[in-house]
Amino acid sequence: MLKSKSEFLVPTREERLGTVCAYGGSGKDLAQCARGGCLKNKNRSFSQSSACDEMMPLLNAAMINDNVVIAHSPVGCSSMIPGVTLLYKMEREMRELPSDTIKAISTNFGENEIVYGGASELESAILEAENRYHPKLITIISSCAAGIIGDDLQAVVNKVQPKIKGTIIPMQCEGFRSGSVATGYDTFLVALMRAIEPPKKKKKDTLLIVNPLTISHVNELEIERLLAKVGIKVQYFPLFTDVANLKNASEATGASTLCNLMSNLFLINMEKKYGIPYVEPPMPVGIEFTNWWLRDTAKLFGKEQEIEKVIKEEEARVIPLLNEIKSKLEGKRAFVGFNLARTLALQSLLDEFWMETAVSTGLEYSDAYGLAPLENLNRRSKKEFILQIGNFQHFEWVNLLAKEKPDVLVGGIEYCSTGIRQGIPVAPVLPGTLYVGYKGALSFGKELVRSLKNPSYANKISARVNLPYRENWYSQSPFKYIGDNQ
Amino acid sequence: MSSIDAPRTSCALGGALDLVNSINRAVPIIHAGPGCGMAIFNSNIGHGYQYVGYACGFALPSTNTLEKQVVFGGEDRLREQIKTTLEVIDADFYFVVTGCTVGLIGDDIKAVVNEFSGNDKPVIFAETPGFKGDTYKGYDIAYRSMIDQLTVPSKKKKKGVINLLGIVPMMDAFWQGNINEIVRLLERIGLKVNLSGNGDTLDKIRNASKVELNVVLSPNTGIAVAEHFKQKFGVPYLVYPLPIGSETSNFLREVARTLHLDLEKVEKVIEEEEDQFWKYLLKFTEAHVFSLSNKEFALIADSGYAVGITKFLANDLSLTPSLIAVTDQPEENLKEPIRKNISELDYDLEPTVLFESDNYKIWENIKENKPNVIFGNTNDKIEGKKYGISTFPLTFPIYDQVVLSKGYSGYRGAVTLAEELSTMLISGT
Repeated sequence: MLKSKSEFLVPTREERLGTVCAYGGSGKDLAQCARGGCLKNKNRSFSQSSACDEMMPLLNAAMINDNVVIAHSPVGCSSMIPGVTLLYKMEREMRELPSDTIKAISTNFGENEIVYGGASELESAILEAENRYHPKLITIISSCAAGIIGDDLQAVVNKVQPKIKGTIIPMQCEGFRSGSVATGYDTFLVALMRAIEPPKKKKKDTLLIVNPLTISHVNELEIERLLAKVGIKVQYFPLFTDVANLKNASEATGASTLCNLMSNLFLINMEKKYGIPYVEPPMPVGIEFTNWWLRDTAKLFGKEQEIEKVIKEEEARVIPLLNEIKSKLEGKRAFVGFNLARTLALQSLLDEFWMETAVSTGLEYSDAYGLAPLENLNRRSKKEFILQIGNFQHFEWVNLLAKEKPDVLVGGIEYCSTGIRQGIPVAPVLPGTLYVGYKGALSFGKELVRSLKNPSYANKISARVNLPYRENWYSQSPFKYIGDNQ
Repeated sequence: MSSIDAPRTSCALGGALDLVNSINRAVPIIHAGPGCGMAIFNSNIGHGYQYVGYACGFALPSTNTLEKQVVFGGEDRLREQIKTTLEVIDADFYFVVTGCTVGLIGDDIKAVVNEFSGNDKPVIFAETPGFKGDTYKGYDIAYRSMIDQLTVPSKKKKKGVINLLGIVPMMDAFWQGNINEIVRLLERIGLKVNLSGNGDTLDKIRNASKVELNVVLSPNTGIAVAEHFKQKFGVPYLVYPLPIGSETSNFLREVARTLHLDLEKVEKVIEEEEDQFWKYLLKFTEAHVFSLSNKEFALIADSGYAVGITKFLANDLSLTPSLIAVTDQPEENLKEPIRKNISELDYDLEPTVLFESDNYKIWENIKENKPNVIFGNTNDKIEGKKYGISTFPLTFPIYDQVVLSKGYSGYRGAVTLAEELSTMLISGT
């Protein structure tokens, strides 16, 4: 009943890559298990709210220029739009794009649509989007409700497209489809390929970079700076990009990614369809991973030697400065909280400061993007670290934080607020935080030093916090509830 | 329901979660798809970045139903989640609230929840799938379910004790400040507030039938709850939209009359409060001349704010209301009283009252007759800038400021509003 009629339905990450959404143990054990073929996806019998498959398409589509997002859902699914509008505003300002609100329409599913279907409401929302905004692109985001009642998005699109100037792209991303948020990324990026036109000409020395919402433009500028030194031009896909630049994405010379968690299926399909060679190195954070990223990417253009020169120059400039920072951070223990593509990259940077990572997290794990950096870190780390793989799951974090008592929490906003409430100072990775490349290593190193200097807020707040967990929760295994669920 | 451009609310589940998260030591158990709790938590950025809830904002227990549950049903998963939640989380009561997925697959929530009736801490439920309506609707549904399952019937009424209803926590970013000021004033005229919406407890919910009166601070939200109280427990109710400025005196008089309080004493309190209030506004005359005199305003807000803000600005500060867009969706029979309430002003002013949730349509109206200042949300601020209009952030989503304790209700809130409004206009932000 749930199988879609759409040929554009991507496989879930669990089906395609054997992605694991629940794991707790050492990084070493995970890598060994992955190599040995004994890694199995599990569930939790106690769980807390998490990101869903609909979120990534909805939030990311909102970041494309000249796009109207239609959330084909009850009004609550659009609740997260205000939260990212601030981010949208900041990122557009950084790119000197005019300030504006996100154009998003909810089809406002009610009981009527549940009974009679939401197709006609969707149709009129598309026509309204056209009349109101004349967008170049209209993206339709499905939802649990629309999926269960079986609305055929494609049929609606086929019907109204002749009346609409821009391209309409439906995204089949019901929140119940997959436990892996990356399935949502696949849905989003692969669906956007429908906007891409066959190449008119092939561009020379142009790198298509898949850019995620959480790597701010300040970081893109660092990547552009480094690639410019070897004559590689950058074209981003798809965020904060004009639709014209989505259309001609097929003309790129090669493709790479700033988030190998999200880009996988898109890059595979782009190679298949347009013959664009690609690489998927880990995020360029810290010296080692930045070098890795640059080397892999330069190879696409046959610029291996040129990039070595850049790396040498940059290292000569930056390493003495990093050594100064290192003396202030050496031996400090960190909890790194974010998705795995980023935590492993941040962990690599911390290792370069001779810090120790006690715990690293990930929303999910798959070999495709996780194994190579994980093995790299397992090799480099002096001590074993704990990996928590879960789509958020706060109760496991608080347990781990209470047990491990790290000196600092490095990561995303939900992780950092959790850290503060348990008395741990934080070095947040936020919109606007520079942490990519050589400049990013320096900048974030300074942030880490500052984070340790004055923990007053975390100290005082944590003394006043009553977390809702039972006292005995803290003495149990944080991963007690990982297994099968009902 | 017709589509909504840039919605100004969340869904029924959102309203239910706002309610549960405002109660001390209450923990929701969301029986819904994996993203519902997180999406609604993210909307908190639009409530002035408030982190609220004993159960840690985004960390709400949730069954995270996937395809397996959609196909085979989610009752077993819910049972398991309630059991494990009781193991891990220490709360005074647990409140199962449901989302679209389980609303559609037809799980028997009541049957599963009833299995836990022997638990020492109550486990209750409300069916709040998103497609049932907006935040305001969800608040009403969850509130009614809550009193059905927790409130102990009592014929005896405690004299001078009342409940306040109708302010949806979080959805009104200034809920705490707004409620605190009203409670302060009610206490000054000798009343005690049982349920207020801020810091309510299981005990207060249990005793909620013993009050003399329910006061509903919105001409829409909370009325269904009060009606339910009336039918079930015989508690009468008074609807009085959140009072702001000197209108607060009328509010206090009406409450006093309804409860047969000593009116002379109440007038004394009113006089003291008004004296303070007007002293501050006296300090404000130069600023008023400079920034507010003869200004026209548009207001885009739920009906709760629509009445109070319009009355304060028009009746106390001499501003002219042009367009009042009411964004919650009151039932047809409530629309006329709301329209009347907004339009009945001390002087002959005739604002256009528009019941509309769709942002685009609201803005079509605003563009037709551009006011000097708008009361709306952060999106309105961005839009207003395009036309050189300043916007005072008041309603969801407010994502460019942090709201912790302040409010705009009563006398003190009105002074804050006057201060901030003129500051905004003087500084040109």
